[in-house]
Amino acid sequence: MDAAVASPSPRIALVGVPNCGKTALFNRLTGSHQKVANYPGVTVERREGERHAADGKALRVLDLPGTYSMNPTTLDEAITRDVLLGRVAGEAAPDLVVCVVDAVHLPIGLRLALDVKRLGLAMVLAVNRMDVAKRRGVHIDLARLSAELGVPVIPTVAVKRGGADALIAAIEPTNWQAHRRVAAPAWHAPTAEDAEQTQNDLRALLDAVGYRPPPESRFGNNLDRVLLHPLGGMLVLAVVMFLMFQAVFSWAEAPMGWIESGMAVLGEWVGSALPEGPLNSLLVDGVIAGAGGVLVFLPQIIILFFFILALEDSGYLPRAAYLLDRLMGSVGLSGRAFIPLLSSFACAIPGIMAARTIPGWRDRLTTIMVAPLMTCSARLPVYALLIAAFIPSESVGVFNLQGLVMFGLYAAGILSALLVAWVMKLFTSGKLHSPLLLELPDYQWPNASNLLLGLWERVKIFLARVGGIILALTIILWFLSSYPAPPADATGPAIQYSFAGRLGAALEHVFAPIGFNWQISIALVPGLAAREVAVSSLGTVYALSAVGDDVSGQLEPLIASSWSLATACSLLAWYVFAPQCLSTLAVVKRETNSWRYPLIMAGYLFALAYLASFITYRVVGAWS
Amino acid sequence: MQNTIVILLLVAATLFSVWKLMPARRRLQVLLALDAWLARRDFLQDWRTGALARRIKTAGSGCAGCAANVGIRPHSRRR
Amino acid sequence: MPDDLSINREVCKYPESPNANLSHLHPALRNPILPLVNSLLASSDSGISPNACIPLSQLRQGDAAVVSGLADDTARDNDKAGSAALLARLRDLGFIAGARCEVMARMWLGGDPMVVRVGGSTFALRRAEAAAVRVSRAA
Repeated sequence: MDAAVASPSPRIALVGVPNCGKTALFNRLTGSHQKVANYPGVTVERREGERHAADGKALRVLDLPGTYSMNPTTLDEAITRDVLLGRVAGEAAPDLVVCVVDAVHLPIGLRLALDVKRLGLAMVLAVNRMDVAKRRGVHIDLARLSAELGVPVIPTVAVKRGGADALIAAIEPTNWQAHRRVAAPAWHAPTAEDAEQTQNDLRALLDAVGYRPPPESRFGNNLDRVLLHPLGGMLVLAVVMFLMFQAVFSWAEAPMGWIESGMAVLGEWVGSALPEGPLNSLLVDGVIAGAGGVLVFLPQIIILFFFILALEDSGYLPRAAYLLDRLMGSVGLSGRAFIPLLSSFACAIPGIMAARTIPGWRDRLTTIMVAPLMTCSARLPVYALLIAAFIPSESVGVFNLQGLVMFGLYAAGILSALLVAWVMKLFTSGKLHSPLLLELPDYQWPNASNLLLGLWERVKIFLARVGGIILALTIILWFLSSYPAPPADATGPAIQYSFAGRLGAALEHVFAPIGFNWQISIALVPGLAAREVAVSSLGTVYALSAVGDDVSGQLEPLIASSWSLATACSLLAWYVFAPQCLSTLAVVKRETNSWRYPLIMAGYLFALAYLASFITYRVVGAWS
Repeated sequence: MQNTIVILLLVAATLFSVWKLMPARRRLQVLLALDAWLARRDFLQDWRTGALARRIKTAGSGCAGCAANVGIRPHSRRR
Repeated sequence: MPDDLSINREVCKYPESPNANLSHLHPALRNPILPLVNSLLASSDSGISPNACIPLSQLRQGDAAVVSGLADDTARDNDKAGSAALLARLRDLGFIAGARCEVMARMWLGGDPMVVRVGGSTFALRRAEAAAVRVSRAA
């Protein structure tokens, strides 16, 4: 299996406590040459990057999940320890460890550094945020620190261009290869005496290098007085969330219009340039009406992630977790669940994997089970399409009605998540203590280059989905909707005689009680592979079932004229709950290591979706 | 002519979807089978030892193959 | 996991502590009472002498204190491993004897959770975790 891999390049691992700027430093070292394995979480997944040493040889740089100690309480901390010890299959222990500490919060980082140093690996200590430390009057005698620890100590400023140059020089293999360890690193769980010893060492070390905790930052304290206030903080949180959804609608309007008209022009051009025939239909009705229809939502996705990434970078998110801890605790969720649940707004998959940062199996399971109720960005196109078609763009007070409805849908997801967690709590006996123990980092301005890099990552993922799986499924659906061709004496649109048309007619029996027509029923099936495909499928199905010459019509006005409001609302309600994502179920299976939980999840989500749609359809139908 | 292109596109789309939606473990099995099959032939050897070997390595060490799960298996924690 | 559960359990003996008075009771009886007693104590600052050793969870917003040790004897008699892990983690975060700490914020209605600054870092803790940290009021 390990066939012929050239002599392995030296491997460098970055380790540090959470919020020490390790990921920014990693970006500085590897630039955009990084590979995030499968799904980008918040450093929960394996991130590896490459950089070239002065002699041109490649160095592999690994960003390990943040940890406070070698003594793990969560799964991702255990991963960090196991990688350092070389216990992870297929990965030898790293050749060099770069231990990153925050100069302002030196004690907590240095304690971890003492732990790591005992492993006996070659090590470099990077003292990060030196600029902030200097500004806040923290003095550290780096030469003394290096002498006491016996490892090179490098000052860095990860967020500044050139701020990691000294570190880049220090990780040149010629500088550390002599200290490379031959034997495997060893570690044993510390006893109380070991812990005492570490604390004494740490205290002596801090004294020796002259570290004093910085005077409190007045700016941070004042901000905290508002943002952590039981009432004021909640208000600010609500306003921030609200602005986010308003922006998703109002800022994205113009760029979405450009993409839309671009697609229309492209469709017309292809339609007239190619002779009539199956290829023409595939490109116009399949690819452009389908996959192109999903591309339109790129601006909204960029705006949503801009907010999520900026909030993450600023240090606000753990404070929001603090504010919501009481509420989440009352339904049996750990306060730690806030961050995995928030990343579930991007996609449930990294959210479910980020649940590894939650100590305690039961807390973790509850978080995993409710994560799909957080509205993921793949649902955004479906919501946006239906809202644009059925909800008038009026203003209600200062707010836009469309934005309000979108906010309501997200809120419905959140409320039902709380409800489901509460029900799960009823079924689990006994009370287990679930710790919060969350560090609230210093506030900082979001770093522009980190923000751009993160956005670029999301854009790449979205484009790869549209150009990959969404395009492929759209082509298959086009085929299924076009063949077999209708008989010569056909009266209705051709699609009714095709495979997909017949499947849709069969499914309609199931979905008729909740108001779905056969076109929607067809679109739901490929939507199982990727939710956005529901939009591209509707585009294709309607393009093919159009009779006469209204083919070039856009999907949005088309459904606005052919669906009732009750049907549209019912479909929206369906999408709040439906487990329309096979990859999520697969990840749940992997993370819980059993079939039981993905099956329970699929069952309860389908039941909720059907029920919610049924009620919505009846209520809106009777009311309108 | 259009028919041929459409059929080719359709086959490509089907293969791609199957590949993308395949469980990671099955994908690795397919790659290994391909590797073993090619090892007994003498064409495409450069590709086998280069791109295919790298692909297998990443497929094996992706998050599905993450042995870090072994230490703290959720089930062992249940009470 | 550290194998020693009684880390610093001796470090803080406080006769006026409700635990001492209730220790003759069966744990099952002790547990439901403690939170009540604790919250009563938290709401009145009389009855605690300046040098007494009290759980961090009893401090009010703005109070500063010095950590005197860690001891977990409140509500986790049935979860020894979790208890040991909690103490080890608190120690790793800097809740060690002699460290100055300050309560930055508390939620309304019972003050759970709370924000505590220690060793130059700031943490959000639930009341149950804070109860495992013994502090004495700074002079």
